[in-house]
Amino acid sequence: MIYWFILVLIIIFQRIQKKKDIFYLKPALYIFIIGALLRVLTLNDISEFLMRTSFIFFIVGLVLSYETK
Amino acid sequence: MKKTIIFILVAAVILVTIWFRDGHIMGTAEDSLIFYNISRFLPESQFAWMEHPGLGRVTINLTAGRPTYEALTFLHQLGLANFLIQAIVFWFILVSAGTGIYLLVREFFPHLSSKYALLSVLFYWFNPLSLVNVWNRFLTDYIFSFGLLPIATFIFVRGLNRRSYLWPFILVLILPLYSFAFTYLAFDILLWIFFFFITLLFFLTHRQLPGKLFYIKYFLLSLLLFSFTNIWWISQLASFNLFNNINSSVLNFDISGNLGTLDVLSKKMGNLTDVFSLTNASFVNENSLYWVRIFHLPPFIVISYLIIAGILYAIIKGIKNSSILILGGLFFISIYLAKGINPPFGEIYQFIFANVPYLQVFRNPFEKASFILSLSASLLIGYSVFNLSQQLPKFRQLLYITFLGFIAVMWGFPFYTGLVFTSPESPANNPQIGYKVQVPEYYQEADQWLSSQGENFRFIGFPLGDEGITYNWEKGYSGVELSSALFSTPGILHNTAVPYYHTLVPQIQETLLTQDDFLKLANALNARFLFVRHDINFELRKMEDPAAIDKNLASREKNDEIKKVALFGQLTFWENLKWQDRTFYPANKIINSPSQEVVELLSVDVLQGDVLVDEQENLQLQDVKLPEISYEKINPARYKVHVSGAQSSFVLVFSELFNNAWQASYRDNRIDKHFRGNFYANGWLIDKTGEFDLIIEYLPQKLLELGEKISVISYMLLAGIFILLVSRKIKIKRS
Repeated sequence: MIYWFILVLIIIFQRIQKKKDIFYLKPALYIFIIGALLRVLTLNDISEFLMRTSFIFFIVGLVLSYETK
Repeated sequence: MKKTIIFILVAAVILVTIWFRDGHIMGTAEDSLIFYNISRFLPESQFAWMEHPGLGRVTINLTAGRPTYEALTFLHQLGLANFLIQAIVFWFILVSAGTGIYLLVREFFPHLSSKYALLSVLFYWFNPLSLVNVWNRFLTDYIFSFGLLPIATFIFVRGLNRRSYLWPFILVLILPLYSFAFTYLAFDILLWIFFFFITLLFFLTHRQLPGKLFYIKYFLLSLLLFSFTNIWWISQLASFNLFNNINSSVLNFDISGNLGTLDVLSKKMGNLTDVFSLTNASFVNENSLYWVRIFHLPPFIVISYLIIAGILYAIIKGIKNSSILILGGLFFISIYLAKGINPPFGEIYQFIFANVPYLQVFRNPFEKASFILSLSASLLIGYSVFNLSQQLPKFRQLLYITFLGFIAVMWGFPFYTGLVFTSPESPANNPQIGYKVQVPEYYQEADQWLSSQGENFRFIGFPLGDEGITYNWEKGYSGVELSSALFSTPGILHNTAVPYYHTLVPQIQETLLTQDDFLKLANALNARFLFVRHDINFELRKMEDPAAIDKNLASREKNDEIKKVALFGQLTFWENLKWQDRTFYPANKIINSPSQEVVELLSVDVLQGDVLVDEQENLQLQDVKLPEISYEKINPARYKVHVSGAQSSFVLVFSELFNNAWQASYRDNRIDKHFRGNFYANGWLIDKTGEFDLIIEYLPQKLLELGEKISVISYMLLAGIFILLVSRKIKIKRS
C-alpha cells in the first residue's frame, strides 16, 4: 500500500510542480545504486524497499517521457 | 555485419561441439528424453489423443510441434545419430538467437558499431536468465522459445519501423521452423503480450495519426495471420471448452490454487533486488553446486548490478531517442511482469491473473517473463557500453574489454565447460555426466520384443512411483519417467497428473503386493505384461525395492498366474496368463457403485463381461450371451468396432481413459449414453441387436484435421500473396 501512496504523492507533486522526466529518472538511478550497495551488504529489506521506490520513479519518468514525445 | 554473422555461426559450432563431443544425447527434468527416438514422439503431435502414459491422454497443444517433429523425424530416418540431431537443433537455436539479437540491435541502433551489437548477442546467450531458465532448465520448448523470440521480434519490429505489411507475412512463414516453441502455452501467450506492448510503445512514441493507425492495423494483421496459419493447434486449446474436458495439468483453471502458487512464487523470486540483478532466487540454495554458489558471491552480484546500472544510465541519457524509449519501456514492463504480484502495483497483475483463465499459465511469473526480460536487457547492453564509452572516451577500450570479459568469459564459463548442464541431483551433479544420457541397448531389445507381441495390450512397469525417476546407467538419467521415449507400446510406468490415472496408479503396486486378485485389476487395465526394472535408483526416489516385487511375482508364477517370459539386461518381463485383449469388450453384468473406487475393480472380472458403473446411471441389462467384438485401430483417436451376434442391449467398454469427447456413433448417429466404467474407462450403452459397425472417435481429432486443412490452405495463400507483394516491390524498384 505504501507504494501506491508514494505514487499518489508523486502524481500530486507533478501536477503542482510540472517537472520534466529527468527530474524523476536521475533520483531513480541514485536510489537504485544505493539499493544495490545495501543488497551487497546483505541489508535486504531496506534494499528491496529502495529498489521498489526506484522502480516507481523510473515508471513515472518514462511515462512523462512518452507524454512529451 | 558479415563478420559478426560468421562469428555467431562459428561460436555456435564450437559450443555444440563442446557439449556433444563424446556423442551422447542430453535430457533431464520434465522434457523426458525426446532425442532418444524423436520419431516416437511424432504421433503425439499428429493426433488429438495420445496413448502415453498408460491409459492415454489429450495432446492439447503438443500438436503445435508437428512441423518440428516431422523435420527431426526426417533427419532420424536419414540415419543421423540422435546426439547429432540434438546438436543440430541446439546450433540452430543459438544461431537464431544470436542473429536475431544482432539484427534487432542494428534495427534499433543503425549507427551502433558491430562490436557493441556483438556484446548484446553474447549477453543474450550467456546472461544468468538464459543460463538458469533456458539451458540449465533444459526443456526443449523453452530452448525453442529462446531461439524464436529474438528473430520473431526482429521481423515484427522491422515491419513496424518500415511501415510495411510484408513483414507479418515473413513472420508467419518462418514460424514452422520453430513450431516446437508453441507447445509451450505460456510462450504462445507471452509472445503476443510482448508484441502488443511493442506495438503500444511504438504507438506512444509517434505523434501522427496515420502512423498510429498503421501500428494498430499491423498488430491486428499479424495476429490474424498467426491465428489462421496456426489454427490446427489453437483449435485444440479451444476444444477444451467445447468438450468440457478442462481437467488437465497443462491447462489448470483452478484459480484459487493457482493464486496460491502465484503468491508463493512471487514472494520467492519476485523481489526486485533479484529481478534487477537477473537472478533466479530459487536457483541458489544450500544444495547448489559449487559453480552456482560462486556465481552468487558478492563480486558477481556487484558486477550484475553495475551492468544493470549501465543500462539504466543509458536509458536516462538517451531518453529523447525513440529506440531507447521503446526498449526502456519494454525493460520495465518485463521487470514488472517478472516480479509477479509483489509490490509495487502487484494488485494489477493479480486482478488480471484471477480474471483471465488462460493467464493461469503465468503462475510462475519470473520464469515466464524472464524470456522478455533477457531480450530487452540484451538489446540495451550494447548501447549502454557504447554510451559509457562516449562519456569516458579515455577508457573506451578498457570499458569494452571489461564488459566483454565479464559477459563472455565469466558468464560464459559454465557454457564452455558444460557445467551449465549439471544440477544438484544425482547423476547430473557429476560434471562428467551432467545431463548426458546413454540408454543401455537392452531397452531397444525390450522395445522390439514388446512390439513383436502385438498392439492390443499394455504393460505395467515396477517399481511404480511418481513422475521423477533416476536411472543408474553409465551415463544415467534423472527427470521425468521415460515411458514414451523408451517404449512404443503404451505402458504404466509412473504416476502423473492425468484425471483418474493419478488416483489409479498408486494403487496398482499396492494391490500387487497385498492382494491375491491382482490379475483382475491387470485385466481391467488390459495389461498383458508386467516388468521389473533393476537399473533404477529406487532408494533415492523412495520407491519399492525391485527385489520385493520379484519375490511377489515369483510366488504368483508358482500359482500359474504369470510366467517369466523374457529377460533383457536389467529388465525382467512376466506375462499375465489370464490376459485377453480387452481394448474393447462387451459387458452386461453391471456392478453398481456409488462412486467407483479403484479397489472395486478387484471384484470386476472383465473376462466374464463385468463392468463397474456409477449406480446413478441406473443400468439394468439382460444376462444373455454377449456379442462378438472385433475392432480396427485407424489411429489413436479413431477406431472401427465390428459387433456381431448382439441379442440384447449391452455395454461396450473401451479401455482407454474416460473423456467426454470420446464418441461412439452408428451410421453417423451419436450414441447418447456415454459414461465412465471400470473407474477409468469409457462405456456406451448399445441398444442395437444383430451385426453392425460402430465408429469410436475422439472428437477434437476432427477439429485437428479441419484445422490442418485450414492452416495448409492459409500457408499456401500467404506464400502466394507474399510472392506477389515481393515481385510488385521489385518491379516498382526497377522502374
